Amino acid sequence: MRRILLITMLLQTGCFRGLFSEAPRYLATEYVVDRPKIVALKAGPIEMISGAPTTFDALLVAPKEASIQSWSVSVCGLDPTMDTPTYIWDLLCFEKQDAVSTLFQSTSLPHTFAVPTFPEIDCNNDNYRPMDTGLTEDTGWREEGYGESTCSHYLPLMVEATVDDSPVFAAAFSYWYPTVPYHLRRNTPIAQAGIGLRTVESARAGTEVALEVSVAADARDASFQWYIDSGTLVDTGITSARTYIEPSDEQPYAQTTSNNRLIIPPDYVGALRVWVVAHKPWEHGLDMTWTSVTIEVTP
Amino acid sequence: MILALLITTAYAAEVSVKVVDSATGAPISQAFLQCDADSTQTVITNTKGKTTLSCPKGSHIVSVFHDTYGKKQIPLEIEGDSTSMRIRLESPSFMIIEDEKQTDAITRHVITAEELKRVPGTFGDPVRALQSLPGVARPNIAEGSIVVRGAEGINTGFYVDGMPVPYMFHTMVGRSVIIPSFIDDIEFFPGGMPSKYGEVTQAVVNVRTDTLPTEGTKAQLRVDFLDGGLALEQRINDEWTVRGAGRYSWVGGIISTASKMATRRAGGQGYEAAYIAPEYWDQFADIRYKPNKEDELSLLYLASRDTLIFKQGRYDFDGDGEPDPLDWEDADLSYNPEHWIDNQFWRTRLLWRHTGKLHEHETWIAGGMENQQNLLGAWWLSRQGPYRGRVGGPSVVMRRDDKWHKPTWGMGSAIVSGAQLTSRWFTAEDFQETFNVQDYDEIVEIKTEDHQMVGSMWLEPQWQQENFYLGAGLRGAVYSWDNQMVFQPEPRVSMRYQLPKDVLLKGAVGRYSQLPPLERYAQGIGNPDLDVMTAWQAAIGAETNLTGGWHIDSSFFGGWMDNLVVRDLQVDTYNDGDSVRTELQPYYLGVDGLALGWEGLFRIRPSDTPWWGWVSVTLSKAMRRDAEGNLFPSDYDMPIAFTAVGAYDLGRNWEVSGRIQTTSGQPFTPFYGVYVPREQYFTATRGDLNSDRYPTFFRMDLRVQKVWSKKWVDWMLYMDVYNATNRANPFIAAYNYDYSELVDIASLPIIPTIGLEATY
Repeated sequence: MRRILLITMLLQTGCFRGLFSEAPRYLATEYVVDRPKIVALKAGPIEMISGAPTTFDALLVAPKEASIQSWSVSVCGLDPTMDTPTYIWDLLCFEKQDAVSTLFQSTSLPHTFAVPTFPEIDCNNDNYRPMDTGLTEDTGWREEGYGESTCSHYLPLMVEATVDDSPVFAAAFSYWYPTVPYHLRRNTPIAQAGIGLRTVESARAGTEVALEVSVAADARDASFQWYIDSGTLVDTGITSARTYIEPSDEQPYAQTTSNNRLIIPPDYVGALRVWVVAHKPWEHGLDMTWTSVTIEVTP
Repeated sequence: MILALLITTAYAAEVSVKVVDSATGAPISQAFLQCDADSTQTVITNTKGKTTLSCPKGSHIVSVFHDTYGKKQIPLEIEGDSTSMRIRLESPSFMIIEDEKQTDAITRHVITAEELKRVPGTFGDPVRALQSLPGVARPNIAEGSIVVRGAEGINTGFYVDGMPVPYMFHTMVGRSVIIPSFIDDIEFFPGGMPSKYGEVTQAVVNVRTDTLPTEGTKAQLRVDFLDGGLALEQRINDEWTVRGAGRYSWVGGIISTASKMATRRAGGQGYEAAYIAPEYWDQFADIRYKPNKEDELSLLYLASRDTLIFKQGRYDFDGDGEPDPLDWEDADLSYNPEHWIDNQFWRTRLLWRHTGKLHEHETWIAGGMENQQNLLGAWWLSRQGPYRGRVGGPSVVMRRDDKWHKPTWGMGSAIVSGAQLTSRWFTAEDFQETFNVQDYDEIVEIKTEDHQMVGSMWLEPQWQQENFYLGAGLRGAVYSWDNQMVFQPEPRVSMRYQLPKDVLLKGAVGRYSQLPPLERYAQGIGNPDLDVMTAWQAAIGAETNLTGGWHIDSSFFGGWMDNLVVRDLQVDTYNDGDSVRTELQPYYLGVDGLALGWEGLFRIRPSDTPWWGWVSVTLSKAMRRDAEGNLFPSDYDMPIAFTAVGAYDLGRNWEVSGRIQTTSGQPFTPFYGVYVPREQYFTATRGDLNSDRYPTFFRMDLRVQKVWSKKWVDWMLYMDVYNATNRANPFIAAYNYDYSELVDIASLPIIPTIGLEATY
């Protein structure tokens, strides 16, 4: 029966949800920016706190001629009257229009908005309770291992940019706390760490240039994703940390670096942009940082 | 001279010849025969199509000529003193489509089955060839539907000799449930049906098996790699005729055997093999009794089963040498989970037909059972029938049709009236929850039972003057269903006017109504808010014959549909206690529909050339509007549809034919890639309903066939090549990893088929 279930699930959902795709391999090689794509998101604070002013930012990489017209960020499953923890793990929730709340719309980012207020979340409720989102059934349960302020919702955010009249989407899953939780007060997220990308200011076409990104945080388990206008990244589009320096008296912040090498195409002339995103996979969905440089390529 | 004649006669053999119509088996009288082209002896067939020919022993080329059927030459080898042969002349209906003028419908294509079987790409199934006609949307290959003039698939009604049947095509394989041997012709009303047709809002396909007389004995055996069938018919005497036929598929057995062999070769046991295979069978039988020239009684039996089986592999985990039972086998399930699709029905009908000079009538009662089960989660296979559920039950239909001829109003005038009562006791079962549970003790099967009754009456005076026909009908139907009762008036008018120079103008307008299928409004798997579907249809057109063998039939059509049942997808969330997952499920919407278009049929039949063909073109737009006022294209909105069919007689009984079909891509609901940076993968969000299209569809089919006669048996060997260019036309397509491009995952490749047909 499970096999039937699995195969029918594949037949039904696999057709259009990428179950047959080989995403990791592709993402490591799909680093040349040939169409608009939102590749990183961050918020400050990195989780949603009821009523708190929050600054939201996103990195949209696109061909040079592309024009970003607007941004819209929405959440699904947030009921401002519900005190039951709500966990939603996928984006199908956004098919339910009455469960979707727009957080803000803007013509540019970063944008600061006030997180909608919602009541204290009752962690003593049953660990399975339906929520009135319009979905037939929803569940949630108490998150274990935290103190009094760790009860939260876990909800998807949808980010939509309009680029040259076409939509471009990205999503993140974030915790929604009624008050600032302990771990946010204690830890410094990557999103607030300084980041720098060292490379040459100009180079000749057809040459190889070294790239080094440095993050002022302990990012040893971070992933570094690279995007370029053109060329070849010798170390692929995803690299890991190469060096790490503990914080010290001279340097109050830890420092983590990662490296890559760019081979500029022999026929490329003009500005060549390089972006790099640092984040910890499978941790906070909005805890990222990024930077970019432009290399002037001469014949 | 006399001596020579005597010598020739002395060494001559006697050849008993019977000449019959190749399509119907009916005897052909007044056919002229000669042993050889230069023979001095000519004989003529009698009313039974028989004659005796004297030919010298040896090899001959027998020549046959008939005023209507034309000329044919058959090789004959004579060794003994006597022999016999049956000569089948090709039907003179050289062209495939014969519009019967002066009928009560503006457009009514009557299509001879023998010719339709030769359309390439149909695997010899005449009903599938309907999909080449103008106004008919190209369906997905896996679907069993005929979608006409911008309506939905469920708005086409299927009938066998006027008796409704629940479905017409086998899933995946696509063959019709009626064994081709008995199909005389197919009535196809793309719209504007006369008053006697009801409970359907768009089109009618009526497969007729009783329009041609049965003469003597006819047997037909037909085999190909999918299935084999045998049909027998015998006219016992002038009063009694019996017919019977059966077809059984063996493609499932082939797949099963191949899978088990492959598993054994890989080191496993045969019972460990897992495979998917279609299996189906069809049965047909009738007895006709004709006590006098005006009356006929008949008893018809029709049955069909259609399954798509997923055979699970079994394993011997406990080491007892026997495969362990599957987990679901210990559960008290009301269905077999391995039968992803399991559709079946049977019908019996007792009919009395009276054909008097001034009054004709048909009176019949039919009953039977039907079940349609679909467990497959692939919603694209579920446009017809239930979704992860089963629907069906017994039904009874009683019907009376009367036709009073009124020659005083004009030759061909008549009053048509009738009544029909349909009663269905259907149950819809929702297996959705059952299908996903892990603990079978928790199974809760949701059932919805309903008794549908539909009573209808109609009256339609039909005036036929020299150049003008007017039919003004009124039909009323009362629908009792889902604890409600509604009355639907259905006025209908159709007109024809014959202009000089063989130009015929035609027009029709009418209202039609239809109940939504139970599975569409049943609790759990349907939408209880659905209402009776209604539609206004209008069409106006002209047809004419031109020099060079051309016939042109052109019509503009429009349809306004209310409460049309279409399918969308909605999010459902499932919780099995351990995890939650969401998935898209079909959801049935009641929407308004608008369809506008033009369709043209261009047929050519040069009088003295060995080729023929036709071109059908449809330009149309089919839109839907939901309750919120959102407009979106129909699932089958294909603004441009073009089909060309042609055949060439190579001589020596070889014929090649081809079909080219190209249409606009089918609409689908797009998905936009949503990048999730934290996990570094793409998921998707749906765009507006049907707001994107698949690429333009193109398919070319080829067919070559050879016919020959040997003694009393006519043989036909054919090779049908479906999708000869191996074009990847997606009927469901997936996206690449970031949803920026469509990649084909479901399209049928080139499929060559070889078949053999023997007719006695």
